[in-house]
Amino acid sequence: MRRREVAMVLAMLAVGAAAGGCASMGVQPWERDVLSQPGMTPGEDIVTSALDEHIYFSKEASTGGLGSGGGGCGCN
Amino acid sequence: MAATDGKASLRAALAAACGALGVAGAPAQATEVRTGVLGYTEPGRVSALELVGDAKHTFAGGQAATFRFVYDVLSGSSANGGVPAAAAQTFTSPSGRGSYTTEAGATPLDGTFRDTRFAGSAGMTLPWGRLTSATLGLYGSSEHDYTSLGANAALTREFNRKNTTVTLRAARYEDSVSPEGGAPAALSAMLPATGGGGDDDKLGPDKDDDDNGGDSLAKSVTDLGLSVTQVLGRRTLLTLNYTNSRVAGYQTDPYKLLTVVDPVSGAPRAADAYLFESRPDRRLKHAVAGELLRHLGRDVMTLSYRYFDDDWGVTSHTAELAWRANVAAKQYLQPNVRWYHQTAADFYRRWLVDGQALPEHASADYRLGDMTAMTYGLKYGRTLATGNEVSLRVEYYAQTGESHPAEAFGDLRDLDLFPTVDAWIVNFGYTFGK
Amino acid sequence: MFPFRIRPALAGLVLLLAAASARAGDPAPAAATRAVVPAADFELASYQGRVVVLDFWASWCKPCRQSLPWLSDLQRRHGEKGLQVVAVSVDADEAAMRERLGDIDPGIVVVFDPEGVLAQQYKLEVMPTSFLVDRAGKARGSHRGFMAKEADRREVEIVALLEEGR
Repeated sequence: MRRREVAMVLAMLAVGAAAGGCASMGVQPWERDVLSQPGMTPGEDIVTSALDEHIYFSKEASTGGLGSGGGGCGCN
Repeated sequence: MAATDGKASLRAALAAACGALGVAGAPAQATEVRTGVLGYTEPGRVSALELVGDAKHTFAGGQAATFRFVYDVLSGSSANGGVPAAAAQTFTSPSGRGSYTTEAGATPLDGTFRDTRFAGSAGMTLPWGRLTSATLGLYGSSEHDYTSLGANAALTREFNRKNTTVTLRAARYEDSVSPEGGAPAALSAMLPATGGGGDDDKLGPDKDDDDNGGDSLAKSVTDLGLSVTQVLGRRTLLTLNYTNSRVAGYQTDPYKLLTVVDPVSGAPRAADAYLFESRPDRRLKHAVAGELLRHLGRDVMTLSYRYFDDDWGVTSHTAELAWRANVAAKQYLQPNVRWYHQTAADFYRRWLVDGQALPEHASADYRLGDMTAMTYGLKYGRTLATGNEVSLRVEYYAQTGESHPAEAFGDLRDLDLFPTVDAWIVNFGYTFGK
Repeated sequence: MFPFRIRPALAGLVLLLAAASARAGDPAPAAATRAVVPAADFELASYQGRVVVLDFWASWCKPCRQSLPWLSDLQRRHGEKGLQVVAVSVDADEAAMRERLGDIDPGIVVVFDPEGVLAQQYKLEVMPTSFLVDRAGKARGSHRGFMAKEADRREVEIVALLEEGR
């Protein structure tokens, strides 16, 4: 199915970007002040996300999305 | 309540809340507890109340243990799949004993819907050096007709001075469905009620399993995921995510029906007008999602998009924008808008036509149909002097579809075949020990 | 419409909201008059003869909320034996840094490095990071991150350096 291939290509692009192109991007460890602020960590409000996912899961035909990590303080 | 009693009463209220949530005792220094209460109501249809407690304890060595439980109560009416008709319609309740009647012109709603669900999960994150960590977890949930057990694992690795985070994820769930009144055969006719009273057959956890006809059907779900988070700059972060989910086993909704209509009048046929739906027992889903976080002056903008596609023919797009306005030092207001659009599954049928051959699979569940949904929300959050956080969120959710599709004929042309489903959501959150 | 169990939960919610609003108000700002060395004026050499723990931290760094009090305690207990803790803040905002200085030992030298000049010089890889310098001014190792379970072992290392020059 064509749509599935599109999805696969997108996913591979994401990995490729992370592995290669992104090596030069980013900030120094001491420049993460803004990234440490509330709201700048993906998936920060886990309880709200869980509640939302449950609602949408029971009302819509789609699942999956944004489980993630990264961002934030980047400490230790 | 006197203002000077604020602190004491907060403690008391919190203690009461914790007692109710099963998180007894004072939290240790390295324990973060998030709690939430959510009320959900679709006027005239379903109401639900959901309680969530999530605790994370971080040990001195950097390991973290997480526990979560969710409890929810659901009751009210939900669309049974049948189309409205020019005359009143009578349906048999899922138990097979009672019946309910839908007025002329109204969307058939099964009002016997009632359930409680309890779900719990536990996980352990084990760091391996400064850049790698592994998470292992277990999950279980139970409803009166549904049980799910799962295990999950994730591996996270940081690169480029922690500017790139890659997570690989796998999960497996084994579910078991024991439909009320037994699992109906695919596209078999709804039988007339066997009597024994119309209203004493509410579904509930107190129901004896014997009433389920002894059927227990299995379903397994295998999820695989990959996510990459990249810091793009001092104020910008991007996350990309791919998830693949393979479902095998019983996926039919045993309580959903299809109306077989007369080919000319569009009215339910005289005999055996309602058939139980049937869905394929395999489904492969893909989702690609991206989320951009951008800090703007004092605000944070979150923009996300998801593309979803499965082999049932459903394709969907989801876009969401949230704007966290830090209105004061420790307070924020966050409006959000979400747009969702899906195409129908290949086997979605609003109705079946009398005299035509039955398809292998068919469902009139509007959740598998062409649909657009909008969510508008507003959240207020504040950090208290204690460092604890409170938030209150109100959301409005509306699902719309084609009320008068081109294929409608006879009586069906004059009926609303996709009434807008709307819901109000109120969500209170409290986080402490952060 | 709601099942009976919802009532106590709703009452609890109202109670929580009422209590939360009664607690409104921000804490008083920490006293912030302490002397702080600008990064440009900092010279490690001027501490020769003492064992130096040069620690990079920031107000926004979570593990630093544990490491700074620990360093403060070390300074208090070993300062007389020749320990000098230098706490280099890479905060961009001086007020945010000063908010954290309220409880730390006055013997600690605080350096303000908003541009990360020193951080760059020391090729910092993670927050927080500590560098150990002996009495002769020689680098004797570094430690990345902060874990409570490693604190005792690190103190032993520092005490050993303090003993060396006697």
